[in-house]
Amino acid sequence: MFSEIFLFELKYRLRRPVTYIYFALLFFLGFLFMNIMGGAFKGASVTTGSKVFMNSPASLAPVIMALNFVGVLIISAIMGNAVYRDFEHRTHSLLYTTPIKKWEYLGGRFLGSFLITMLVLMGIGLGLMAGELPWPWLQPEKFGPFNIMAYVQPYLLFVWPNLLFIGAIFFSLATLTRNILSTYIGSIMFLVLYVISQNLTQDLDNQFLVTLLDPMGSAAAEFTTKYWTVAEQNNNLLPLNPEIMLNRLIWVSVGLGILAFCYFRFSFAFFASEGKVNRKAASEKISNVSATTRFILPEAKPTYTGFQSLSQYWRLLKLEFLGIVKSVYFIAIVFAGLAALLAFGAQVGKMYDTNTFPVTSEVIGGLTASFYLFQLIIIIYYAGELVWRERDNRMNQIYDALPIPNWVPFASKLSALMLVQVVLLALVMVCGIIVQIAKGFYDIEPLLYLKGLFGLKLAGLLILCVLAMLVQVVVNNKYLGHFIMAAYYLFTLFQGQMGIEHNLLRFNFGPGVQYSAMNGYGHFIVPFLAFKIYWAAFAVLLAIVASALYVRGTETLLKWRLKVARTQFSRSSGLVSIAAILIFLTSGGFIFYNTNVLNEYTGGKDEQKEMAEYEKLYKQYETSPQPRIVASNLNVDIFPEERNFRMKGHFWLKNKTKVSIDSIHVNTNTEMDIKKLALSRSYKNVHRDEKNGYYIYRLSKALQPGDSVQLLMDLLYETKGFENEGSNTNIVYNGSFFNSSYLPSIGYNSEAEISDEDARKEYGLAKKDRMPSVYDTTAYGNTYISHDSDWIRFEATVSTVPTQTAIAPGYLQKEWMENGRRYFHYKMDAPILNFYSFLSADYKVKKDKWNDVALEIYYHKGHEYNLDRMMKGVKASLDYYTKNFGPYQHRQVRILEFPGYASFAQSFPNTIPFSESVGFIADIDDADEEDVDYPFYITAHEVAHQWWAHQVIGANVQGGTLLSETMSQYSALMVMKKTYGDDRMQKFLRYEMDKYLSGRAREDQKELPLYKVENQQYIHYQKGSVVMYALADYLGEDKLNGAIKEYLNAVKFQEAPYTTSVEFLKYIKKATPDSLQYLVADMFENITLYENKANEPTYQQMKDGRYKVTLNLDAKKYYADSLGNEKEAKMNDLVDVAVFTYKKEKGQKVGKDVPVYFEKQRIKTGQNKLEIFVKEKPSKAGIDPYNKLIDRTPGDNLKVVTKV
Amino acid sequence: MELQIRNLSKTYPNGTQALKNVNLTIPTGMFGLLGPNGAGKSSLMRTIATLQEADSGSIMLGDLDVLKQKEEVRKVLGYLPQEFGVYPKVNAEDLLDHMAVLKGLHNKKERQAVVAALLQQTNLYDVRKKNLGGYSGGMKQRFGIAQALLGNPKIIIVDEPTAGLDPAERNRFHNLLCEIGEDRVVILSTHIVSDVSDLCRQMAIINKGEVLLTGDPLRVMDDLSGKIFKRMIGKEELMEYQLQYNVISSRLFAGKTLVHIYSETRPDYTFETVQPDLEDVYFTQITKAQAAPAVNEVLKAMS
Repeated sequence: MFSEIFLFELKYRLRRPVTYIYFALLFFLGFLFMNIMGGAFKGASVTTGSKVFMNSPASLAPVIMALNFVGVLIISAIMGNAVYRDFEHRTHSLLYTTPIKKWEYLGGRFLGSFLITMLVLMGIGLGLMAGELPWPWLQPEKFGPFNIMAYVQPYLLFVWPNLLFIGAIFFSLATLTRNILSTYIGSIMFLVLYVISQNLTQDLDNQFLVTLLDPMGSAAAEFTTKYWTVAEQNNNLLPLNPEIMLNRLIWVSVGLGILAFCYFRFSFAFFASEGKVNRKAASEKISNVSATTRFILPEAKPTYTGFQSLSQYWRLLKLEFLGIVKSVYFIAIVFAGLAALLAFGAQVGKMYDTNTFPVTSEVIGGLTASFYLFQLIIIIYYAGELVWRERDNRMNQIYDALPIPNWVPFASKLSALMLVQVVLLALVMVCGIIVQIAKGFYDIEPLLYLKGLFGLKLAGLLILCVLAMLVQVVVNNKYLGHFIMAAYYLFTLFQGQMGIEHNLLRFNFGPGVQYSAMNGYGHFIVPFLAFKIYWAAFAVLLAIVASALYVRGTETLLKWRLKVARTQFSRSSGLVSIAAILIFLTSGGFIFYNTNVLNEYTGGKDEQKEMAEYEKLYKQYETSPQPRIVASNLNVDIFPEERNFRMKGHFWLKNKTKVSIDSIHVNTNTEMDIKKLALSRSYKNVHRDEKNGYYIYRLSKALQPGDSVQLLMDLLYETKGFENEGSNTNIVYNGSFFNSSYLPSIGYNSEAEISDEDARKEYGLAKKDRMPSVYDTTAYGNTYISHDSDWIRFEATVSTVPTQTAIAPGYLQKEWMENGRRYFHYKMDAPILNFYSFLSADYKVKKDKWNDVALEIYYHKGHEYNLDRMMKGVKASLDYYTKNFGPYQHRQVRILEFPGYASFAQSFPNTIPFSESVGFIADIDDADEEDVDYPFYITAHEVAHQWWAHQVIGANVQGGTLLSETMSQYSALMVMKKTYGDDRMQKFLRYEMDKYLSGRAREDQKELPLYKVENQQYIHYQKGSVVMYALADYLGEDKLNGAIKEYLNAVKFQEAPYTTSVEFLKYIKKATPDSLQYLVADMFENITLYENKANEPTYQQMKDGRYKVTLNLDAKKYYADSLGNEKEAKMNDLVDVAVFTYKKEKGQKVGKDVPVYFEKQRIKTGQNKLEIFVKEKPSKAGIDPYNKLIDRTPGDNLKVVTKV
Repeated sequence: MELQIRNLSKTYPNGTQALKNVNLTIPTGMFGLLGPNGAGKSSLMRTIATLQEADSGSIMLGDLDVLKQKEEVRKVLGYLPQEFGVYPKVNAEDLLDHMAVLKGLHNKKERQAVVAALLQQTNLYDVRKKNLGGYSGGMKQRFGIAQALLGNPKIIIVDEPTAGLDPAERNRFHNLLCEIGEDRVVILSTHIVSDVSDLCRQMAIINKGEVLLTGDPLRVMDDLSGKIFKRMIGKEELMEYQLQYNVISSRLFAGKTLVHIYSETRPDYTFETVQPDLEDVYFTQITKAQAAPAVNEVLKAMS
């Protein structure tokens, strides 16, 4: 009997065309994805290279899992239907009275559907596999050898077990509730679990919990592979580690548990009846006598006017709207969504695990992002419910024959769905305000809520509603409609890579809108509105099509519906269509004029082409001798309202070579409109290439060594209309910040070359190293900042509107008003790098002093929260750096806030622009040891750059950023340690370690040892932090600082040839005892990884009251090559060994572990057995407890000590 | 007003020819459309009710072209489909009021009066506040007719309204229909012969998409007068009789089989003449249409 039911289920599914449609769609998704990633669309999109193969296990597993998210819909459609369809088609009373057993019925149905779904889901894997075939349009270098296990493993570990779990939920819910809608509760449950686990991943402390919580197991897989290098990603299958196994075990067990529950709850007897026994039956008095009265109805004349159609529309709208919001599932989704919202709200704006204040813009951004998925689900799901509502209730024939105009039913349903979006956003707003108040933050901006939610977010949602309804009407199959919408959503994520870049072609898209407290929504509003009007007009057309095709009557074939639509198309819908078409074309034209006529439309691909052309044309001049910029004197006029600026003035160019120079090559920024570009001597402009911005001037009389000439210029940056993507946020209404890159440079600029290997190959460019070798002395002539200057004199007059303050490096000489504009004259009294910035904004200023140095913070009104921390940071930094490194070269430090369009701070001479998003609104709880005072830390880092970059600057070779970024990082760490103590550094260092390890996993060319760093952030910042902090510990801070100071004094403000990391290491090595020379080599010259581990330590109490702790330590050291291939190295290293005891201070609720033994011990490769005697009762013990050495599993270094 | 159906044909995508060149003229008053299950009654009804397209042919309601002027037709149409559901969690009064608005009754007072009257007439007034989910089949059917009557339609289409009702309910439903069918077109489709004989002054018999007969039930019965004969036979004799005579119906009666045959003359004395009723007309038409192939099949089977 079981096999009969099972086989019947299989046959039933195999006969259903939708089974094949699902399979085909998944197959297509997989195929398309592999092709996109394999470079099939390289003609249309930007080429980027990664050494990780597309078909490697580590690439395939997440892809298969992610694509299977769409599969959830299919699982719900198939598994939910297995038993439910007997209720739906009312065959249950027939079946349940046959002598089948419960297990046969449930088991047969479940397994049959399960097997079919397993096969359907294989579509993704097979599609990917088919995509991997050597199609001529793919790039073979993106693929490694075919590995069947790379496909099989994700299915065995994730896809199929997930199917069991998810399928069990859908199957059981639909079977027990006999209501197909309830299966969606299942999807919501997951979504919440998924969202919460995703959210927690940001916090390093919850890693293990996160891996367990995610029912899909992807968090566990991600956790496992996050530190994998290219070599590991290409070769390794996922290991069956505790995280993955435990996760799978939990969720498969939950799935089986649900099935068991379903089995025990199910009963034929109960379910064969109508189920609900307490349904109230309406009874009436029976009379068999016919009514004697004649059938006369009161007079009531039906009327049909436009106004009355409107009132019918309102009536239906109300009905449909209430139908949605009163439905249990809507309430469930909303509650789940709100729970997720409040969970999110609790950690607004996390950075280093430290919150920001819940300012309204952050709250809106965070909440809408996390609620978007819920809204998407509501739109997709309820579009289906609305379109099918009458049919599901079998009232369609009555409704369809009613004398309501054709537009009314569709319009009312669409409007109801739209109204729901408004209500949801209002809920988001309420949630946001609750979050703010709950956190004791009362600076609520209601107007910003309205603008951000109803002005910006709503429009896109409404347009999406139209699409979802259209899809449902056209495909006329609820589940297929859901699926197509989900697939569409995936498509939007990849359309850019398929070459669809212009927003005029990307449905519902437009240039992004960014908010900044300083600049509001700024110039983003106009393009936003233009695109939204454009897409809204298009949506109106879609709505008219959908309304015309809306199924009315029993003809569902598209052929008939099209025919009917033609005959029923009314004059008014014709008029509306024409109006919509006109608006669509007009707004489209307006947009096109802005994006493609006023501005040059360049897709990512075009930019690459131009770069290649520049290199091909002018590389020949790279070595021709050129004069160098030695002075810059500028008048910069900033026009914030027009978003323009004009730079007039001159550079002094000096021939520092030993030969005479007859022609000068000038590179201009092609965004600048050149009003004037000339030399102060007689010359001839022999080459003029405006497209690539390359000009050659032949001097009538050659420039002799030591001689100088002025480059005179008048350049205008003019903002014209708006662009398709990415507007210039350097020049804005309030908070402009642009640097010297808008000015010309001298000679061929090799920085403008394409660096991506694959792209270079595509354009036929020679292979190029990312940077010259650290030993390449020919490259020592330039710093890594500039190829045409050394140290320069600087002077500038900056003007702006009267409400704003304009700032440039140097000291303010004079400030005045002229012609309704405000002028500032700045002059620098010491030589600086050819790297400076101009800012203009409506600022408030906080002033202070450190010794003779004036301290100023220019900030946006309202952003006072962390000014004291920053000021404290500046002072502590100046204290530490002047004491340990040497004097500060300026008489002033200025911090200037700029809008949060970018999240960084940058150090210019005596001037530090600092993004509003990286500290100004941080909410630091000093009592919380886990909070990182990052406004303080970033300040310290930037102040350190006044030494490390603005005094010592490395040559343009590998390792250059070690001397600026790593050293600034080290300096800031020391200042932080001095202010906050060693303990509070732990969290920060763990972040740095994590970022280094995951950074090297994402490396797309090669990882290098620190001293050869090629401007790789994860190396010069994160590895730099970890290494330098450890070095200070091993050598002693003072000793290390002594070496650093000696080095600094030797090289600061030097002219070419510039210093390198090799020279720096000489000073370090000199200060290092022989016993630690290996350490310096491991840290700077090798990629060194440890695998240290404490095995269960034990203790014994001795007779004298002391405790003997027995430690078994595992140690291993590896050297990795640039792709992450590891080789074990012999280890005999000094490593911290520690024993802790648990101590509780008086008055404190929880105590903590404090070290009672902390020594560096020689540790050898393999097992190390140590016996340590301590006076206090040991709690934990282990090796390298503070993770000074780089170790991918830092969690097993310290273990609880147990009694023997 | 008169409903004229001319040369109406419809074939479904699966190949079933639901309507074959149907021609009908339906005057005011009750019109019975009689036919077995699957005869094409519902297809015809849905087409008249603007819910389905036709491949060819026309339907005119007075001056209105039903296939094209759907909106206008719907304004004068009341339709009770063969199978329909209700929103289970809404009560009868609210749903009827809601439908009344959709039918164009915008004046609240008038609408409420009409709704109340309809609930009275359909005997649902006492249960008007009860949710429709708890209604019995008959009550639901009466609710269905109530909504069809909203807006005083000129043409009412009721598709198999009495199927599944108990005799008492059916009786009540007949009374209701009888009263409304005075001055408008009421088309009643059914497979129950007595529905038509009880209620209709005009009728058509339809089978396999074709109209077999139209006319006044009394007249068509009269036409058959003297041509229908009956006889009691043994169960086992049926096959033989079917071959020999034009058997139009057979049913068991007290353990024996009672056959009705159609014949121009009395075949022999063992047959008794019967006064034909509508059922005989119905079966005569149905068997006539099927006769030729059916007999051939039997012959083939025997040879």
